[in-house]
Amino acid sequence: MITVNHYLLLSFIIFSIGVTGVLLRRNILIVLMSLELIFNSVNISLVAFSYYLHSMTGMVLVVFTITIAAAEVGVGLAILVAVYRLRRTVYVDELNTLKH
Amino acid sequence: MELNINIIIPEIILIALAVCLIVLDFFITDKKKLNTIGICGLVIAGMSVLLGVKNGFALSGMIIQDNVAVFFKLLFILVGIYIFYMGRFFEDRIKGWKGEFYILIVFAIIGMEFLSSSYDFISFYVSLELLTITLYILTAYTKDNPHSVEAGLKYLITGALASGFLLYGISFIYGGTGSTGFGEIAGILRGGGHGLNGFVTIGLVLIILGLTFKISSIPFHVWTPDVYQGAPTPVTALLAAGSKAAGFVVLMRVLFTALGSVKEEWMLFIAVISAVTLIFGNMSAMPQKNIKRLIAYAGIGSAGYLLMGIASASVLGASSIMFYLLTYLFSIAGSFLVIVIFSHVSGSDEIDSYAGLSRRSPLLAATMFIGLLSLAGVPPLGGFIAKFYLFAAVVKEGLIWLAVIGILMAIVSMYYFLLVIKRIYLMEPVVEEKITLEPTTKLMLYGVNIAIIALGVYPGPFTDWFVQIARQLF
Repeated sequence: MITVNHYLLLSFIIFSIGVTGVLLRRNILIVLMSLELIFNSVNISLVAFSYYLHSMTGMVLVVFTITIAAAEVGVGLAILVAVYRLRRTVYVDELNTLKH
Repeated sequence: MELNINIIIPEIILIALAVCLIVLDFFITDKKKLNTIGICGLVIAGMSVLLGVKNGFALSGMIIQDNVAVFFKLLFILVGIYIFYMGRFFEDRIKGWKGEFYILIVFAIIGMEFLSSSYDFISFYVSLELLTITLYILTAYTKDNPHSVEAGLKYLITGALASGFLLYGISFIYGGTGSTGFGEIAGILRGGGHGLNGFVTIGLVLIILGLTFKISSIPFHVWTPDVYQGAPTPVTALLAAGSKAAGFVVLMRVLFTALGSVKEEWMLFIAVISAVTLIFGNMSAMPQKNIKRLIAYAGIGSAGYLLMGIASASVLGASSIMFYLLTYLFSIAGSFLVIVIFSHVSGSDEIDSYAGLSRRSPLLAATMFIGLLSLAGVPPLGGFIAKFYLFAAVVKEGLIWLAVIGILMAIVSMYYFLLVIKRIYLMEPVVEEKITLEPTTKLMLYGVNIAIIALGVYPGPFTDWFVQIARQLF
């Protein structure tokens, strides 16, 4: 029998993988992928709650989340292209021109 | 509940303004005219907020119109007018300047307006992202400048991470209460039907962490100095005055309105965040050499002061947050207008290049003097009264240790602001050339100075009004 807790555990594991990826990876493309993982883990948890509470609101929020996450990553890739044109690098630790 | 479209007329006017600017951008080659049209549109939207005040709900309870929303909408429009005016001095410095800069600013203002009146986690999240994604683009706007795009990327990665935390928190609150409307959540928690279960507590912590990104406090503060330094200066002012105020209005709505009945759970948590933010921001501001970076760290400190009002969780706390944000807006508008004009003339944002500014332009020097001293909280300026009310609010709730930290950090902030003022007034200028100002610029500068002094000398009517409207949040 699969309960809401199983889905929450899955969502928590994916969320943790995503946060770890954002904090530890050097390549910005992989950082953006990890951000997608975070948003999708939230979607799993929202849909699971929505199903077990018999309420549609959570699913409505998921539709908005998917759209906004796509917009966010779209802007992210556009800025990354601009960075690459100027600096010829996609590694976080080489982007340190802003100094104290 | 029905549609009630008449409540969101100011936002509709702003959307129409943005569409108008997009179309006119094709035909008008002199972008200064686009700027004037934008300012006129913002003034009309401001009038419609003032005249069309009718409290109630719109879009099936997603949007609320109350006096708090009216105050913040007017505040954001005032920010918008100053940002547009700053844009005039920035146009010449960018190759291939396009009108879309102004369009994006209008969209950011629409996001803030919706944010200040959102009454449901769905409308709250969508308007928050409308604001944030627009600010990512604006930060990276000068795409031939490596600092600007680098700042944009850093802002985006931290922002997306914080918005992931926020959304995860929203999903737990939804799971714990079965609803996303602020009013319904407050009713369920007050009724104790589900009681305070673990889901609500987890969600509460995650939402607070996610929102610390917008108000630039610990732990999501890391973007602030880099983005303030790298972004185009008008955008920095928008981040400092507008985005922070938008963060606090939603923090007040979520914590006071929706989760007010479980305030014992979050008061101490917020108080600790506030204390750490105060110490970190003010201590790191001391060695800074760049004026925008200095104001960024001072802004982290200000977020700490404003969080004191949230930690007190009372009507006095909420009203002093509004008063602080009003004086903060004028200080930021004044000092950033000076920074924009000065970097337009000298091309530098370093504090050392401000040496002898008082001999080159007494009005610019006086505006910087009043703006920075108000940020530091010197009587009789507005910033002093604002901090006084915040300290009073936390002391009343028994958080005396927090007030003590706040007072100590106010002394620290005096030190680094006086270092800038010393350069402006006591050092010899490197270039003797006078800075001439247009009459409208002088008018704007006199406007902010008079507003800061008036708020400090005669705060009575404002504080009375704020206390009155803050009651609607609880």
